[in-house]
Amino acid sequence: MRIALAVVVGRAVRWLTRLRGGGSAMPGNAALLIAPQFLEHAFQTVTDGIIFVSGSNGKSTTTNMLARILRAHGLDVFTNPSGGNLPQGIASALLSEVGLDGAVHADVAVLEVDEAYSVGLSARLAPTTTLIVNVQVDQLNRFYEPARVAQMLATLVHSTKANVILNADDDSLREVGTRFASTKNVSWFGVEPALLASAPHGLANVIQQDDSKRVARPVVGSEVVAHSERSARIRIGKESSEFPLPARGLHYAVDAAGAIGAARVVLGRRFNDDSARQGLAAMQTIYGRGEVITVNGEDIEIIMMKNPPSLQMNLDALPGKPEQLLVAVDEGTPDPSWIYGIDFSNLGDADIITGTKAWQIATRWAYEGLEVRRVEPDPDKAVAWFLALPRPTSGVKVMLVNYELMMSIRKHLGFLELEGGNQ
Amino acid sequence: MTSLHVLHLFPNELGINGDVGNVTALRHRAAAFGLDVETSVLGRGEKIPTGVDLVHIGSGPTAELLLVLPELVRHSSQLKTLRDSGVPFLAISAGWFGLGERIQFASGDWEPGAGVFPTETQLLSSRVVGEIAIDTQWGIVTGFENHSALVSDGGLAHFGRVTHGTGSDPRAAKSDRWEGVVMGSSIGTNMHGSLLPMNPVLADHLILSAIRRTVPNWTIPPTDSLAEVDAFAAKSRAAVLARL
Repeated sequence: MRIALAVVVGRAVRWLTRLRGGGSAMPGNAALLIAPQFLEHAFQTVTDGIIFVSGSNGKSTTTNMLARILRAHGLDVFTNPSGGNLPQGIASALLSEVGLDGAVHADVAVLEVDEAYSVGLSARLAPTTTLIVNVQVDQLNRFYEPARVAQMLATLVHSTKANVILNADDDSLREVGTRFASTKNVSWFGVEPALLASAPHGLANVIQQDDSKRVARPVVGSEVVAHSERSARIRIGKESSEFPLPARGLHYAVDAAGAIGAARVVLGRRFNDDSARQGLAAMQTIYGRGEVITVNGEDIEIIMMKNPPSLQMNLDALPGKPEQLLVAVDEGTPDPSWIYGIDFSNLGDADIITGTKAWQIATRWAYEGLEVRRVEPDPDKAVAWFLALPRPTSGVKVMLVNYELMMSIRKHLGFLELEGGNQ
Repeated sequence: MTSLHVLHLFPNELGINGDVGNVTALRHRAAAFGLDVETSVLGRGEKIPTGVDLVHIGSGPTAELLLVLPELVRHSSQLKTLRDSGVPFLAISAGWFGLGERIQFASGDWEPGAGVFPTETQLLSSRVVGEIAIDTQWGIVTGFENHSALVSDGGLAHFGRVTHGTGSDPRAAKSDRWEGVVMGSSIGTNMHGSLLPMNPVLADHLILSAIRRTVPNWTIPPTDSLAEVDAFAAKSRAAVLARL
């Protein structure tokens, strides 16, 4: 009865927030308030298990890849949209899938989970399989130290019933995987060592500075051996073949290797390359991850600056310095000091800098000896001014934005749907 | 040409908070003042180079602090010699704690530091996170604090009185809150921002103190080339103050 009420009220809240183009947490919050066991109840009916995807950067992309690969193999998959990786976000996603009985009818659930919330969620939902993409420097105002994140993810692995798929080129995850080698079915994905060595900043994962604690690289089941503009050559077992990518960059290639690694574990003998390729080909770009949107006939590439490693990987993947650039950072990045640690080789002058942190970001540009044509803290005014600039010869305007301003700028430009609502 | 040799201690270990921006600001400004700038980086197992004019050390996680602590102790007498010869130090959070007398870790154990600053640090289980503004002899200084430390000032003058935020002694009454220490021309503090880019007056103070050791009557030459970055920094500080 409580479950049915939670579904009805949650859906009503969802309908109201959609009208406003609002956030994705509120409907789920309402459902969880009415039925605290809403999540546990919903996933009881999933037949082939729950898969958790977590880590610092690339969770959304990898979750999406894995869901599509499994679907291409004929599985009925439930997944949560990017950005909805807290309990309330997952509950919101469930509201559109479940009946009044509150049960999700799918073969498998692929859930992107926040690193901190993965501790509680894994204890509640007991995932069969967990895929962890990396441990990188992220949100120090919230996580304090990367070692704390590694500890949270070790707890997630501990609560995982059977399979764990980890990034072999991440020092923190190597330590975690080795710790659980005898109690879990641990498998690894990664990047071929020579290819990794040739990347300007590698994968930007946290490096174990204490040599005595560094664990040797394990045997890798799915490995990126080459990548180009929109595809990667991935070795699976002994054979390697080409797979499409949703956006350019080594980070997307390694996400694909991780998704393939997890799919192989989940599907066993049912896994085949062609279906995986089909699944990856069906991917759409995710907000701010190499995404190009069209406004008034003009192409705008949105690059997210969420944290140092994700920004660095996105910059490393740029074909050249952006010709026209807007930078937008607000209180979603409480301490932007880390931009001083970023390699600016692929960045040039900024046409306009906006957001509450605009002056701090402009200071960084000036210390790099780059020009800042205009600073306008009001994002709406800044975006309007930027869009009115003459079309660049490259045809693409670039926006470098933090997560929070990306969402509000999208809304301002008339993209009202919830993130991932089109999945 | 007068030169400025900046030594950056253990940037690989103590570097996740962007404190490298302090070195960026020193380099950029010293060059604008017509100085010949050299930057050295000290890694674990390496020797301190000769001719150092200014020392910087940044902040980082506890595990990395534990990793560099024996190194700082190993270099203790050389670092103290630099201090005694008037070389200014800018030490941020974990780096500052490591340059202090001793540190108490979560285990309760005290570990010795390099003893460059007479300060002592106790790492707490609670954390201080947020923007901060302090009133100093150089005026209002703004930044971001993110630490779990209680520091004793070792009898040194405070870097500033906290007007917004928490500071180096989270247990102090709100009206008594203070942040950082000043020892001669050196500064130890928890503030990011990064500190020097956002508060260029401090960068100029460190550069002036460093150069005057060898050129006693040196003054900062007038330059227009820093006008824009100084204006951006002033507006950054104003924006922090407006939020607090």
